[in-house]
Amino acid sequence: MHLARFVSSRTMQVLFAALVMAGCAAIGADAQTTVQNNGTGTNNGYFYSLYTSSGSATMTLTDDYGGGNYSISWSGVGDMVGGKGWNPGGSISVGYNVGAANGYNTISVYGWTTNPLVEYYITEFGSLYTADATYKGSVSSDGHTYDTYEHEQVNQPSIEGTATFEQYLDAWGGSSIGSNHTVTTGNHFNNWKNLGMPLGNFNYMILGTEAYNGASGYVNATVW
Amino acid sequence: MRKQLAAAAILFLVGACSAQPPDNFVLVKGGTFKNRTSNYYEKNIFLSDFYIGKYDVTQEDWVEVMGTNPSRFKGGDLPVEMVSWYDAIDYCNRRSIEEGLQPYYKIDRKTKDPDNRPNPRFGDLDDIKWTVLRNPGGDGYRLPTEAEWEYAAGGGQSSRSYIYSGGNLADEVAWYWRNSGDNYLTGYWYWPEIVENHDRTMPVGRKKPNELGLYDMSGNVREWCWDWYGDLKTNATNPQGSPGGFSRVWKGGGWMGADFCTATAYRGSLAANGKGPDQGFRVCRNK
Repeated sequence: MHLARFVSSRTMQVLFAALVMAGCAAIGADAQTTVQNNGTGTNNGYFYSLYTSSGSATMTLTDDYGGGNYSISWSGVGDMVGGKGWNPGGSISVGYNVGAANGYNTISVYGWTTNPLVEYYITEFGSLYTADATYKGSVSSDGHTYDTYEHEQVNQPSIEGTATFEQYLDAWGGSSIGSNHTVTTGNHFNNWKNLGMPLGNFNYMILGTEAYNGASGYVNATVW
Repeated sequence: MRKQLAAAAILFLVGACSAQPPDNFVLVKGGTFKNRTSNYYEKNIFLSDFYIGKYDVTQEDWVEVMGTNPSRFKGGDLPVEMVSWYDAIDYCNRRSIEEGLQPYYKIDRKTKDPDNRPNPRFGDLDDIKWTVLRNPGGDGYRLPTEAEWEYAAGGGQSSRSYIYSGGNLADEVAWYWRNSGDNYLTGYWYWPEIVENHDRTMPVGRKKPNELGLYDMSGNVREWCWDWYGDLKTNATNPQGSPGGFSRVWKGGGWMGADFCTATAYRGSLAANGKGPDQGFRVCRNK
């Protein structure tokens, strides 16, 4: 569900952002939903998902900060991905605040488009693996610069089934804990288009935290 | 006079027998598209009658003709997968020869097909590029054209304009990523979760058939079609797709992909040498 349907005006979005920035923890009824290891669904109008391949992880969803808040703690995970987001994605301002995070590999805006089939990452925390990707340039957005890479996947699993498709990777990783940030996804999409990297029809888009190789850690984040 | 009547009766019987579909095939009566969700609806496309397999080509079918089994998930009643478009064409001709039918395809393995162009984004993915021509008069096995596939999947003249082949609920008629493993998956498509859920192909014919009695047109494995992927034709009889391209059409979606891919109108494509554990086919014959 797009934020626009949840928060009806830009004023309200700013208000929520201000509340998050102020560290106010007392809005809402503080209702909680707990997900153990694997689970997906909708919470306060946001998609959420937690996937754990081995080890253990617990995701706690709250209705704090406009409903986009969640925390995950994990231990000894082979691979763990969890987060909240929207379906479909698109050119929106993704607001987020990561209140605490340790033991992760990346925290990224992640999504898919079809026709053409593209998997994309906009990485806010951590380092993407780009060793076998092609460097295409850079883009400045929301006060910092991302390096843009393109990676070809031949006959690999995808949302359409086996496919040859592109991964678009915008790598930054310099975000900070405890303050509000914005990912203006349209800036990334336009830059990719200008670099000859077109997108298609949007599927889901989430702010996902990923950890692997036996990692243990914790994240507490809010999206809006 | 009695002899003439006997001869007429024999001719009638021969004619009647030849009109029977081969085993496990369905006669698809031709015409224009009735399914309102089809890409070809009201586009003045006319198709002739043809036969199409009730089921995907199974691994048992494949091994009987080809000898070896390339599939990732093994089982005689599972659809064959990990087959390229060239493999499917080769199977058609070999099966035709085995059954005394006239091969439908002329395969030139030595001449690179000049109509097989590099992918504008990925370059030359196809390292085979056989030149394959049709023999339209052949009575042997062949792949459906994209139009034939969509027409049959959409119910032909009996269409109820379903989104998926045989229904409007994907779970009732199609194996796709949510329902093809140990547990029903919800949320968003995420490959590691699908692997862990042991998603896989399923025995053919277990879901509800469509209006024509065809199974698994939506889901299970994606199905190769004859056509190059390109712009759809309008105002045509028995369209055969673009004259060239860089990928061949698949239809129907499979166990690995999203439900939207299993809609009969959804168009996908892959380089002709591409293979995957969700890529199979079914065969047709001319009437």
